[in-house]
Amino acid sequence: MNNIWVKVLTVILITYTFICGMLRPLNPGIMEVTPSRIESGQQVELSISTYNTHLDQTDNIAYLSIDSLNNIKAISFKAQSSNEAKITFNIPNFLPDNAKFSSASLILVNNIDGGFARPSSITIGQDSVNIVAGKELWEKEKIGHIPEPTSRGFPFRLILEETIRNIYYHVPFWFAMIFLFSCSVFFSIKYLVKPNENDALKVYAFNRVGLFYGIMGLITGAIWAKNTWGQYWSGDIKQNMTAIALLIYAAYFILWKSFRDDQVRLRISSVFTIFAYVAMIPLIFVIPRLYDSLHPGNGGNPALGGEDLDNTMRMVFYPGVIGFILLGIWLTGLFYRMSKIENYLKQ
Amino acid sequence: MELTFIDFQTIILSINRNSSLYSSGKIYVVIIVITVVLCGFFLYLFNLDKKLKSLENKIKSNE
Repeated sequence: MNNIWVKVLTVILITYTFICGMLRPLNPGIMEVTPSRIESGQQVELSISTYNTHLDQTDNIAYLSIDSLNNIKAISFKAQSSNEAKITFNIPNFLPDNAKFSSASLILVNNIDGGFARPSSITIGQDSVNIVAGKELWEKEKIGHIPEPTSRGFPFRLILEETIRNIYYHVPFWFAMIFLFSCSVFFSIKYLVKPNENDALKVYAFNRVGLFYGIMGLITGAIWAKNTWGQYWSGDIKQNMTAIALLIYAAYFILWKSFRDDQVRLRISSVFTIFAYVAMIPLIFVIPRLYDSLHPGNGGNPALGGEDLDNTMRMVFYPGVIGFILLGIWLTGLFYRMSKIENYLKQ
Repeated sequence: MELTFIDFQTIILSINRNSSLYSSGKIYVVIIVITVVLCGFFLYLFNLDKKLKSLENKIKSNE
């Protein structure tokens, strides 16, 4: 890590992540639809507010869609501003369904923003059921050609909205933390096989920066959680288990300080590092997947795929991960060199 | 032109109202998180700097 070009690469990657993660706008999306509950056989006017759209600069088409076969088209679309509109629908008398209620998605299409939707945004109720007539009324309209949007942004997700960018400033901390702790366990095994004081000092430095990254991950995650899940600490399984793993690593530093004899200290803290790593793996990777969690990737939620991390985001996310890992190695190197000087002075 | 505190306030308010980036969409959460990340790194560096300073002082007193 003493190569200047690796340091330059670190700076470039992290700067790139910060700038590109902020600059690209979000894709268009629908923020609000009122009313959210309507009755069949009526003419209703929906007021919608959208995000990052150009409704007043082009012609818009709106659909209410129960599923891919059953759609109706709006009879009028009045754009009030670029992000607000009033849409009028003639809701047919019957639904193409046996149930008293159906939920429908609102789909908007225009030449600038392409097509975008708000799934299950409206509940339609009906008094009497007539599935045959309902199918006839709803199947008439097909959603036509959806034009390509003029620019591609990050995915628009309800609740997340702009905070989807936090993926670049929260998740890389965890990737880098796992990497740093893996390095520390590698050097502690190396030390136990063939005692060399330098390896033990490397373990100390890696653990130090790894714990710092973990704490940063918890803080950034808590702020993000407050504004999406509602609380800084909601007792989510992944939050709790990570906190436990970090506490185990914190114990390493108490252990390190508690021995007078250098040989014993280096040996015992190396053994403890292996224990902490082995404890961390199930705490972070296994247990959260077995229980319900608010985090994506746990309790059956998909992660790092689909709308949570699409290709536009990967182009920022993975350079960010590499940048944070390199920065972690850099910091570790500084701490390692410092403790070597400390040791030299002691002698 | 002289800008007073009130002017800044009105400017910030008008940004809040007019710009689509700031009007909604929780962009302020991202700003807070980025600030926390940078502050964390800076504090860590200051900490390291302090420790190096004490080592330097030790070397000086040894000489």
